[in-house]
Amino acid sequence: MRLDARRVARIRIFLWVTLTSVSLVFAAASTLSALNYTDVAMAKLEIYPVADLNITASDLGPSDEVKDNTIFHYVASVNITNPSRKDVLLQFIKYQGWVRDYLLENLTHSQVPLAFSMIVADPSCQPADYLIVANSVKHFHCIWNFSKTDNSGGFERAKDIMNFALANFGLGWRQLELTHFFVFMLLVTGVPSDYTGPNSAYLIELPVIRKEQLTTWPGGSP
Amino acid sequence: MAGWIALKITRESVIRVLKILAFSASIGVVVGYFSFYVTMPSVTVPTTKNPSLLLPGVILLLLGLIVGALSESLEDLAVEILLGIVEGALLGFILFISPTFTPEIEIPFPQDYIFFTLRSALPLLILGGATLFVGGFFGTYAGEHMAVRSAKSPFAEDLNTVSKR
Repeated sequence: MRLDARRVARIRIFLWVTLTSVSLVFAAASTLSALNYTDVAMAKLEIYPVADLNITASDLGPSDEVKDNTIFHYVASVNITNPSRKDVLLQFIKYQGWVRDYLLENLTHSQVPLAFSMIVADPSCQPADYLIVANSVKHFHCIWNFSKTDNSGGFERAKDIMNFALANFGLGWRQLELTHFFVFMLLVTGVPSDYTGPNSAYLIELPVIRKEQLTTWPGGSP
Repeated sequence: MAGWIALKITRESVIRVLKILAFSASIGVVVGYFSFYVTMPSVTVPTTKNPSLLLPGVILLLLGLIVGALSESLEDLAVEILLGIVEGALLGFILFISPTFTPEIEIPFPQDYIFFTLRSALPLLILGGATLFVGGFFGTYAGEHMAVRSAKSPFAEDLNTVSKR
């Protein structure tokens, strides 16, 4: 191929234009990547779930004592605020219910000044593919029952504690000190998490959002 | 004067330095993006599940060819690539800590993550540097070949001047 000065100049201009274009494309991709990463980090920070719990009981005894066929109905009213620019998927909500164990405190004669027992363990609430889009608020209910058929061990424990508190201190189940612990597991959409390799632990955890809420209902004094 | 080195700043030397800086910046942007790509493939744009070194390798080879063809000499090319690799590593680190530039997110010691990003991107930086050198070598050869074949090109005049010295 014959190369004169004009053709060489054209090739050099073409190479300059290509180099500039490549640099601009990669600069834009870098900027977009940084913005995307920042959005994911902001979503992890800004997601704000709140659960408001309401408990009712049916089939109690005449003086509010807990019987074998008593059923406690839990209704958690959940609000999830997503002010971020990323859509977020709610995977599940887990709950643990703890009650102040007056029975254990009494049995150990103050060796355990303040005891709590877990009575409701991990009933999960899984709205199917619940998507919370960017800049939105979702509201829904989680409903579950706590009875002898649902959780035999926990229910027997709760029954003993509640009936003991009622018989000895006159505290009905509504006046007991209860602690409610919620765990909300969410996932930022559009961020893959199935990785293996040196940074896999970090990459797997990156889109996962775990938020917790701990509330205590103050009970009456024995 | 003994002990003094006279620095003659000519138009050509300024252009040469500016070209070195421009080429190293181009290499730095590409290497920086790819070092973030291998460190955090889940948030790069475009997102990928399986980051491979093949794509960066091919692109860096082509980039080396272009930069080599436009560079003045092999010495300049070496400086451009080394500077570019350092700039790329720095850009990869800056991209990794980019969320901390927002007022809401604070990390006490962001500089601690430089080792994390360096460790993740080290294979790319080493292989990328080697690929750039290989591409750059052939690019420089092609550039000089073009210049020699074209008698009137400024590049050829430079070569003639050098050979006359």
